[in-house]
Amino acid sequence: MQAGAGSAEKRRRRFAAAGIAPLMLWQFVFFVVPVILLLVISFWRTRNYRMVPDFTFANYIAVFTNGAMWRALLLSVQTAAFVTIACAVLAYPIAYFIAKKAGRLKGLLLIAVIAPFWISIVMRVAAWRLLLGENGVINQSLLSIGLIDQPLGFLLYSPVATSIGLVYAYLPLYVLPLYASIDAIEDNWIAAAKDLNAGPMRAFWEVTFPLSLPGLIVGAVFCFIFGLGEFVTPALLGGGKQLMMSQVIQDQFQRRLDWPAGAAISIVMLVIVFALLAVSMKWFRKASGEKL
Amino acid sequence: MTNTKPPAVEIDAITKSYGETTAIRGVSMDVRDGEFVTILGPSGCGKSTLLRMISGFAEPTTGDVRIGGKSVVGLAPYKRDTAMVFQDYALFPHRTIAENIAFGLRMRKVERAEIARRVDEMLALINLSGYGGRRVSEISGGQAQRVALGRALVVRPSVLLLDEPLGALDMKLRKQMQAELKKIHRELGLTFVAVTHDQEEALTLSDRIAVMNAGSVEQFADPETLYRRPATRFVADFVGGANLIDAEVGPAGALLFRGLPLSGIGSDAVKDRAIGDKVSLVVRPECVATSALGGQAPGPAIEAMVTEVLFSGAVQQIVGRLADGSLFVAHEQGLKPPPERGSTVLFHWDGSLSWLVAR
Repeated sequence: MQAGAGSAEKRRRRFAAAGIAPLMLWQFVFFVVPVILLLVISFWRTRNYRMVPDFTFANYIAVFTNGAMWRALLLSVQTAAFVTIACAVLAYPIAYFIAKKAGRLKGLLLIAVIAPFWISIVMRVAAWRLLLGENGVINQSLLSIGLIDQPLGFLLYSPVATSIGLVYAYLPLYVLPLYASIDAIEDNWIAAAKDLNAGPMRAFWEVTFPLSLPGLIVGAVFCFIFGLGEFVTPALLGGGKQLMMSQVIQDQFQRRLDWPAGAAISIVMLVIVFALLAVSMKWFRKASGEKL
Repeated sequence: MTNTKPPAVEIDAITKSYGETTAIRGVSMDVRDGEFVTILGPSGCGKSTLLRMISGFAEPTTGDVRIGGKSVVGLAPYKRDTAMVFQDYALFPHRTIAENIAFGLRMRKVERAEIARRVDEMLALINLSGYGGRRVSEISGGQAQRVALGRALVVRPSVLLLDEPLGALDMKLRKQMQAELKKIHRELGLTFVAVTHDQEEALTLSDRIAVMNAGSVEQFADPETLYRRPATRFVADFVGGANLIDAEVGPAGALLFRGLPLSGIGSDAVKDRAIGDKVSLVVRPECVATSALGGQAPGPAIEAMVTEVLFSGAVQQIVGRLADGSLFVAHEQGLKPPPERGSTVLFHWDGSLSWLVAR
């Protein structure tokens, strides 16, 4: 009996391992190996547009001493922070409505939230050019109703355009985890708070909000980390005058052909992202610890 | 002690409709101050809706609800001086036991030191001293039930509402909690209004029970009256289980069962009924005994074929089938051997222990 149970357990484990193996292999070949390569060449140097194996910290020193790099990092952080906050503010009422008020329309609304993912991000972001340009829908509408005399130039090819595009692109990423959190809050918990003399606002802050924190944190992590490393949207809408980190990296690799410098910036970004993930996982555990 | 206070809860001619369907049809009842009243009925009878109207989570379509003499119709739950023990307890999962109990006091802006004192007091009352720092996920179902009770009681509501308070507990725990709930009610002297579908629980706990069926209160009485003299066929059947003989009032004080007068029924049993009235004769199984056919029964008696004999020590349960196909049960003390299955015997009882209800 004992032996039989043991071998069944072993078989089950082997089966689980077999199931997870392709994923591990994929992660190894397309993530771990490239990151190791990046790490290695970040210590190399470039001579006459060629990489030369070496062990130098020059690339890292350059990252932290270059003013343009700091400006790019600042723009990336600012953009990611703005997008995260804007998405949180917009996503909360949407997620709350779908989870608590939509009734039978729930499924349909969730699909509507996900639907934009069915179209390539490049096409969706490019479409914003039609809306935001000087002859775009927004400027023309504002002109025709007489709110402005000149088209608003900052709407397109600027950090503002990047932020608008990113808020649009990431909103579903924020709505979904938030929806999951709010949907798990039982109506009776809110009713109990009201029954114990908490008004609707108080019941929200005492019950709904703290219990939705896990979703709020996961959504923020998605938005902030994706926003920090975003390339497509700033490339298409940002105009190229003020660069985000990802654009600087691309610049190093493709225009300057200085791969070691690009690799060093990438590694710095990666470390920042990992640090953020570690901190946010801690918050997440704390916020949802009671339920796990 | 003269009671000049208004009733703790007055339900005055309430109806509740959802579109076409009517959930509650003209219910009126008063709950006296300090009383333990249970609303008993099968699922879907409207009992929970009635409770929700007292707590403020539902509003009556017509009629009035008064708490302590003041109408509360239109008043939000958080403005009513009631507290509810929810069916699934609805404890806040992100708060500790002590924080759960303190919640209502915080919302009522009680002073901090006072909150701490009253929470400790409540934890002691519900036998959970030392559990204050635990998480909701770290306690058992029985303990969660007591926390829910404590969280509602600590605010000293004018009425405590309990929605199937013991429904989620297993049999043994339920018995234990019944005794505890009764003790707490006695000690605090608060008004309790509970809802349950468990007739035994209602009989054990309550001072008075309102039996509901299909949106109406069929009878509102103390447990003993309810058991000994149910007013309707539904109440007789729902509370405690009863033998029912569907009969018709005949001429000269006779009670006709399938056209023939039932033996041993005195004319005073049908004195308030008109000839032709359709009635049911009610008698509890423990009042019925069996004897061989042809013998002379001292009181009312009816013939039935024995379909089942269940022996369980002190009591033997004899199930018979009447001529109209309905079942008739006797719970006899096992002093003599039971009749054989398949034989036809006389089921008889003392005429003072049976009565008629309309059908």
